[in-house]
Amino acid sequence: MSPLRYILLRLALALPTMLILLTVVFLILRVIPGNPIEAMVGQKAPPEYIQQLMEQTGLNKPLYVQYLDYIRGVFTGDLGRSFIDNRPVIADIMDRFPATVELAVFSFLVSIAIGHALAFLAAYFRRNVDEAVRLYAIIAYILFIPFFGLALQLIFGVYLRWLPIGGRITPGLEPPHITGLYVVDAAISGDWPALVSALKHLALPSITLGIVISGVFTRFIRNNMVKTLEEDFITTYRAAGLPRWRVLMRAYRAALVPTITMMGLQLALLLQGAVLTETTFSWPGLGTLLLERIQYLDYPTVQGVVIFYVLIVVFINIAVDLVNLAVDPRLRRGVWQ
Amino acid sequence: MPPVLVVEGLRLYYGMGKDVVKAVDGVSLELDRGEVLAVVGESGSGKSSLGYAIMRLLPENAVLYDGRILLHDGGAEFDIVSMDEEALRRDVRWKRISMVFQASMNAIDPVSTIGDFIYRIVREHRPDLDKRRGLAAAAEAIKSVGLPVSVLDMYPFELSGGMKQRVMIALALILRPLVVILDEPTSALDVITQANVISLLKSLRGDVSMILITHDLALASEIADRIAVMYAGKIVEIGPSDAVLTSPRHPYTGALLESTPTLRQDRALSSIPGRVPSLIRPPPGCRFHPRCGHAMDICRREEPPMVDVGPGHRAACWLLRT
Amino acid sequence: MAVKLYVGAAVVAAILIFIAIPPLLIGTSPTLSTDRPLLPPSPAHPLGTDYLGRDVLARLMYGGRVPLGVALLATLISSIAGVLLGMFSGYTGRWLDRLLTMTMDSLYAFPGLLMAMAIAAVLGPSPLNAALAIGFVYIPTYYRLARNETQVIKTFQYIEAARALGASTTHIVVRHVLPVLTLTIVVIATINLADAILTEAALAFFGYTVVPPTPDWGADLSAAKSYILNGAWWLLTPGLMIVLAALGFSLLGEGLADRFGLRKKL
Repeated sequence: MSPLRYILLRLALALPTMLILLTVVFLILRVIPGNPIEAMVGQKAPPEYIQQLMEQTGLNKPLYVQYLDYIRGVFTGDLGRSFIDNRPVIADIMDRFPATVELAVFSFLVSIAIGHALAFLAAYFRRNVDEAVRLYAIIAYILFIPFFGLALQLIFGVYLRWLPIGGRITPGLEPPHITGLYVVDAAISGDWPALVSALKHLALPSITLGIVISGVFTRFIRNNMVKTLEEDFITTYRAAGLPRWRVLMRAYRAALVPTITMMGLQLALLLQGAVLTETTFSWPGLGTLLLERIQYLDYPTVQGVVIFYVLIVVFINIAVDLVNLAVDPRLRRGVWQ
Repeated sequence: MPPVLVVEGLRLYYGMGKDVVKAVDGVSLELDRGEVLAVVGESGSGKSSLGYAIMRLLPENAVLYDGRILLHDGGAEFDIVSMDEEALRRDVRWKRISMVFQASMNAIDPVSTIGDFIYRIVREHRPDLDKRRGLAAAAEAIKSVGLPVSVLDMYPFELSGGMKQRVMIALALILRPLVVILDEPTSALDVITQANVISLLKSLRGDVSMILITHDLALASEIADRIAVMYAGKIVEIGPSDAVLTSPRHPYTGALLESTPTLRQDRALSSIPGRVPSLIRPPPGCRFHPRCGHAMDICRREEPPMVDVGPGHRAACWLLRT
Repeated sequence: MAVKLYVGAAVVAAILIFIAIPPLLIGTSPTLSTDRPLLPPSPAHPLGTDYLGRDVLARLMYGGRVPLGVALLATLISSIAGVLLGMFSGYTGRWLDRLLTMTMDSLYAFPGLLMAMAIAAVLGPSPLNAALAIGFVYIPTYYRLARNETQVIKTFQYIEAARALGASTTHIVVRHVLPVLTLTIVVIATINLADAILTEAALAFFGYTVVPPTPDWGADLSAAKSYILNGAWWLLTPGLMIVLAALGFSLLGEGLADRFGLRKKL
């Protein structure tokens, strides 16, 4: 099998997952409430208005037609138009998506940095250090993001005044739009004030989310490494006189395959954590978009954002598989031969 | 010329829950240059622990490790038990003593090609070798154990058990160590592969000194110059292979021979009555007395000393003192 | 480590007492202004007052009832639904099993909080709806466990024997499979309660569980947001309660898992 065919096969395998999730979302948003527009807008709204909205969204059609339209919409990128600004939903989403990506990527980097550092410490020193690291993993995981975020805002933003407590950048400093990721755009265009401001604004939110997510990552890397350290090939390396830290590196390398698979499953945590972090730090991403539109009863956008999250999840799962392809020799041999 | 390896009063205890397992309990032996010494015994006799103890590969729960393990190389002498960890790693492990593990199936890094795996270890002790020359050396070693060079590009999951065992033997020899410890090198292999590995080991005899740890007396008799019989953490008899096999002086050695099938004689096989004693609470006196047909009063009370019973042949039994 | 178990049990017990005793100890109402707003902690108000002049301690004590009640109900819903589906799927096998497993795996990969938000948004804010929403998203956790265990148990000899004696599928599953599973489920549910508490807190923070003035830790933290950033640090205490409650159940569950040797199943 060639790599290209593997990727295509993997995409094909992702289809059922995507369809299942889309169907569940459809059932939740359209079938549970009976009349979703009424459920969201409330029964007090004038019937003509509800009727008009239902026609606009196609909710007056039979359920199976709605379902087919819905699926077709997903595949053609047509998620309908917003009740609020009458723009295509996908346009609103694309405006907000880069902010979420920026937050998620930086938080992810923070969490894997912490996860690796602590897991290596635990595996190197064992005993008390290991116990402390395990305790850290439990506590980091249960830190309620709004609480933890507000506490950090209070300390570093309000009392110490080191860092801004909300927003993506100081207003007026926005870099030219290239990718939509402020850090990247500012770096590409050499806009130093924008870069510094963007990084300062990213610091607290990504540290908050990064620490919370580092709980699971620390646990996975530590567990897999400790398990691998009991394997026979580790004894070979020890007997062969490799220094302790190099033996650890090999254990880490061998543990990478199961670790990545497990981490891939936990990326859902990153996405839901991002929603809470965005709310806590007034971060203009997809999560805050979703909450705003739920409040404004903008049914098409709410549905569109949830669908978009489905697509992100499916995409991440494929990406994790491709990373595993690079890391797992068994998989690689199977694909290339 | 002094023996290449001298072990004196070696002890290795490790904790298991609240108990202490006396896996190696006062073992002394010598190994001459180019000699093959087989350590035989039932499983649970501590013979594998002895191999690990000589490498100072201690289990995480080790509670006692003492005695002396002197390694002589030219004028240099190393005491493995007491030497500095860093010096041990740099000067002794693999460079002067290497080991072929019982579980060779999993002894190779699963996410590394054989070539990278071997080179990674070679480089540690031969920083002068660049990758190209390191791999050339690995290719040489691989060929010497009868494997095609293409193995270097393979992952362990692409090799059979016998091939992996050969890779481990090649790896053990690649730095030309003084001593190789082989822990049950054939036990996980099928009969034909076993025969291949045995003939490979035979061909290596004389170049390096070997400690062959095995429960297989037939294998020991085929390869070893001398045999040491281990029982409950102690050596009970040691001597030239012929002497130990044809005129065993310790009742346990005799019983072990009785229980071993041979092709030459067709006599009834007998098994040794009783069970292998616990290493946590070994019997007082002679540790074999509960299973011994000749047990006397003194055997239950006092541990028998080692006595000379022939040229280079010694055994620890009260029968030999009376 | 037994320490986890004891500390976890102690924290859980302390929180349960804390939310159970207010009628006995505190005369103050959690929903009425009793003093000036935003007073820092003082003997009269050990944890100060909120932006409406309500006693924060009283709100903390009453505010744990909805979160813990919702989390408990949600865990009950998801464990019952998940275990039933899982046992059924694991015992029946074939295409139904594959379809259900695929569905559950897909749901497991999706951010549970987002799913719960969607459900809560269409159902409207109420504790019961929040429990339904949270209960739904944790079904896969129990499904996976019950299905895998059922498949293993199915091959055991005594099950074969029961089948040979003509026992019905339902009978076998209920009499032989369920008892083996119960301990594991209880332990997992304890750990899962921590997750459920955090998800409830998030929904409450977004305004999906209670309508003001009902006290709820998550909702109270959300309402206090801007005041906290103006320096009213004592209004962070509802968040601390959420973290303590989640920590307590987490440690208790992990401690139980260690005690019963279930670590591998987590």
